[in-house]
Amino acid sequence: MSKFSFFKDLADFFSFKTRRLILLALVLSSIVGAAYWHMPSIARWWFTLGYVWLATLAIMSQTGFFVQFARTAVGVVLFGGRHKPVPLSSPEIDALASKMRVHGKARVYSTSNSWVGGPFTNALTSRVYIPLSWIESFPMSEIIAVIGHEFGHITRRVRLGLELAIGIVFAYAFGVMLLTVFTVIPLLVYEVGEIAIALYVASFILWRSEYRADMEGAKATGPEGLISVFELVKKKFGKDDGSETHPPLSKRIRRLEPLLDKDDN
Amino acid sequence: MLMKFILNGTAEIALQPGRFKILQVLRKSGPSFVEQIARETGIHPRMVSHHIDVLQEEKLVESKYEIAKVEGSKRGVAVRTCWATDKAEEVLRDVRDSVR
Repeated sequence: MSKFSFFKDLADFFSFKTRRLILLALVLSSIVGAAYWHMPSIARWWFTLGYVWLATLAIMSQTGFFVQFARTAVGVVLFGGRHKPVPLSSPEIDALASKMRVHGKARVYSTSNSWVGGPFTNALTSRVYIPLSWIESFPMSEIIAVIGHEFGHITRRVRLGLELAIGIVFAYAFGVMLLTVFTVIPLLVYEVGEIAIALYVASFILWRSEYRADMEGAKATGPEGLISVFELVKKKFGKDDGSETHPPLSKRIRRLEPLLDKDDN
Repeated sequence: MLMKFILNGTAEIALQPGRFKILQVLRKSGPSFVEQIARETGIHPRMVSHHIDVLQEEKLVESKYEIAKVEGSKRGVAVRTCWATDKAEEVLRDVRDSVR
């Protein structure tokens, strides 16, 4: 695990806000770069220098997060066979699946694979995985709330796929627009600008997807369980910065709290 | 005995920030209504009820429903009175010892 600590340090060094600001600066500079051939040569030189520096900074800031993300994904795939997921079923889970209209479609598993740090859903197979450590440390009512959140991802998966596709097409269109303006530096600006905007848009869409899954789950199980889980996880991790895929827990709690005053959940 | 509750996960359940606050209030003030606990901790009454359910499952708290006179109502209303059990004391002591 220690060989990954460099990347963890790197991910911790750049807060999510900083990472997002760097991406935004990169997207804006790509737009400014449209006037590249209209700039005086000295400005062109400075622009290139600044742009390469910004791109390097963006790569550095994103690397930590993506290596950690890839590490989990690889760990799950490589060691998945050694830690066979065990089907998790109970009358409460079945009732929740029926209520959220995913009965017979979604399956819930518990896994002892230590690479799985938290619950997640494979949207392609509609399988929900809950780490054994979570099942052991949270009460059943809160695990049900977490499963409700994960089912929320399954009910919204078509919409999420569509939104991500639109986001990536939008990023591609942005890149093509830049390409039509540029000719030489262009390749760098085109690629980097496109990737930056794709990351930015994907992050926005994934955050919305998390908020929606929270709402779907909370409407089915009540908001108490999820709020309680978020409070404990927030306390455990100490920092609550959010990430490219998940919004900060305090924001998610704030969005769920108004549901506590409604009688219908 | 030491760390018994930490190992079996009961301490983790009790250390959820909201639940920990509720246990502290129950230890300090003795048997209390859900509304009273909500006022003292600043936690929403529905969250207090949820935490009490969880703590009761772990046998850290006991509760009973009774009719009581409360401020602002002329007739008696059904309230849920809760109190911390001896096990809660043991768990909190266990946690304190592990921190030392």
